[in-house]
Amino acid sequence: MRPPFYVRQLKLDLEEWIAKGLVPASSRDAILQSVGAGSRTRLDLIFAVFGVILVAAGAMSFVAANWEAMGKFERLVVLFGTMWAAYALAMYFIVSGREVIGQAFILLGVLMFGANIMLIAQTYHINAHFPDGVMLWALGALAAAVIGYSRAALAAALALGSLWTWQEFSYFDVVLHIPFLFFWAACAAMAFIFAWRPGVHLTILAFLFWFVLNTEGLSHLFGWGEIQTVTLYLFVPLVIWSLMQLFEGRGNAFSVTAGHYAFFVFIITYALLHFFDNGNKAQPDSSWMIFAVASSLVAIAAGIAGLSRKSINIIDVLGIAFTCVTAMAYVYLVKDKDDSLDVLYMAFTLIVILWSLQRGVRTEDRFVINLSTVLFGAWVLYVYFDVFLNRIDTTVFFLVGGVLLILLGLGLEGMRRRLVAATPSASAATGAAS
Amino acid sequence: MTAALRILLIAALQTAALVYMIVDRSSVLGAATTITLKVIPVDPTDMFRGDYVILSYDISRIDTNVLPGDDTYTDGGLAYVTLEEREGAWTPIAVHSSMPAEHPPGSTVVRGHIDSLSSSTSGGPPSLRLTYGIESFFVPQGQGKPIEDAQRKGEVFAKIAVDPDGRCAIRELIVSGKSIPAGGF
Repeated sequence: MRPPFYVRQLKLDLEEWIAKGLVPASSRDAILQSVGAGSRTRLDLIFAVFGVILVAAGAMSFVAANWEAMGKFERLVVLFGTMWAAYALAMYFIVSGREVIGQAFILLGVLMFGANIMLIAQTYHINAHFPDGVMLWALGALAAAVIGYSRAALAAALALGSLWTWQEFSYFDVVLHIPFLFFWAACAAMAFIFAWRPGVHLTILAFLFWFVLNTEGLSHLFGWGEIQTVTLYLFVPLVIWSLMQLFEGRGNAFSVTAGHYAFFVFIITYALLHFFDNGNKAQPDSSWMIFAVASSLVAIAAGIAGLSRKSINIIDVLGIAFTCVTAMAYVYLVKDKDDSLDVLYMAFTLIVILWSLQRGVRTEDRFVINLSTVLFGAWVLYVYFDVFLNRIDTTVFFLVGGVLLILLGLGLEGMRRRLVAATPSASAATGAAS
Repeated sequence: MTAALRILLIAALQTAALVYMIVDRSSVLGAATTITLKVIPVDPTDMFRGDYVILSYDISRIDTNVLPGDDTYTDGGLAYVTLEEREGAWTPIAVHSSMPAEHPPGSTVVRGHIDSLSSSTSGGPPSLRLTYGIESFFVPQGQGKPIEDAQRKGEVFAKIAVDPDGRCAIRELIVSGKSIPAGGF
């Protein structure tokens, strides 16, 4: 399945090619189907899923309110009956060809499974380490996703897995929750197999959520200082982004989306890096040096490998190398509460933003163009505040700042529109639309 | 595999997980050993979360300094507390970091999870805050108040089933002499 923007663009291009006689009109639907244009979001699926959630909420609330008044046999019937009824209906609808409503009932079965876990825990007054109950629920959802090829169950598994790792972190002070990574890897594999874009988004967001929660744990694990730990958000996504370039040409949903998230995280981290320092550490740890150098080499090697695939050019390879070298040098040189390198690092940041902007225009990637434009505006404002805040009269500072903000708003939006319009496919789209 | 079989497999797997939960707890409740622990009052404002009562016991905090047994424990690990009935109350007589090979006749060993561990200032054996999986009791909506009142008067006791591995489960709650069975299937 290709990205939505690609499909939208292809539809416009096809109209133009058919009008020019380059492509026979009879091939239109087949071409669009081959890139997954038919798998658009379906209203019936959304309604069915919402319906299922409402039914599950109603059933759970009814059972919880009447649980104590029920006899043992009634409890057993309620526990297993509701879940089996949901799966029986799922089976009926899927076998009779109504896949969407069938999938919704698989989701209902997963929700009832969770309700049953809670009701059994309540019956036996179990409260010890309650995230285990959520973990069991998440595993049940994952099993439903794998065995039933259910996207809705996969989404539920990712949401429940995130809840599980959050509970371990928040209530039991787990500083590095490694078991989640195994669960996440299984979910990621399913999202990749399904080539399901919302699933890919959820998978990446779940990983980012875990990463943020476990930053302190990773810092303890490696024994790194603040700025060294922050560079995890720079080098890891940079490596992921570089590797994704090798697959992006194939239009795989996972690589395109993962590439965007990784690019977003690494470029934001690069821009924010100079807010951190090494604390009391005189020099970065040798383990960090090995990590940084190894990550840089992998990212650069992936960039060079991408050259032959034309998904990346020499400017990108230089951009990767520049980012790695300057980030490593900054971490190596910066001292505790040291701002002597700020001006130089701000200049480096501008170079990285300009590289990003150039890449966005060249690859016709609106996400990267928009991100770079916003970053450029933020960079200008930051430089203004940093340089002039204590050096000019307050009234003049705010007046000039206000004017600068208005000009930036107008100027950058105009620049962004021109850059997006300047991309060859956008020009073709405009022509086709007119 | 057909779609019907796949869904059947999901339902069977999830049912197996639920049945395991029930059988596991039933096996603890079916254990021959039952001890009675006095429930001690906890901060009333923290007492209710939803529709369950928070229970605390004398054995929830164990000072390893004053009890024979092991001195070294891991935060988040397990502790095995040997209890003996003295003047009608089950009292800790030893604490170990693993299941003791033997314990005095008439005593029983309960397994607790170390929630927190505070070392003594002299660097001696630590004090343990333990949970045994018997710290909450679900009650029908609105029926927690009499238990709270009785708990303040020291009139609440919990009858606890203990299996040979030291795992605990609430069998019944005695509130001002009245029994409230813990339920189950």
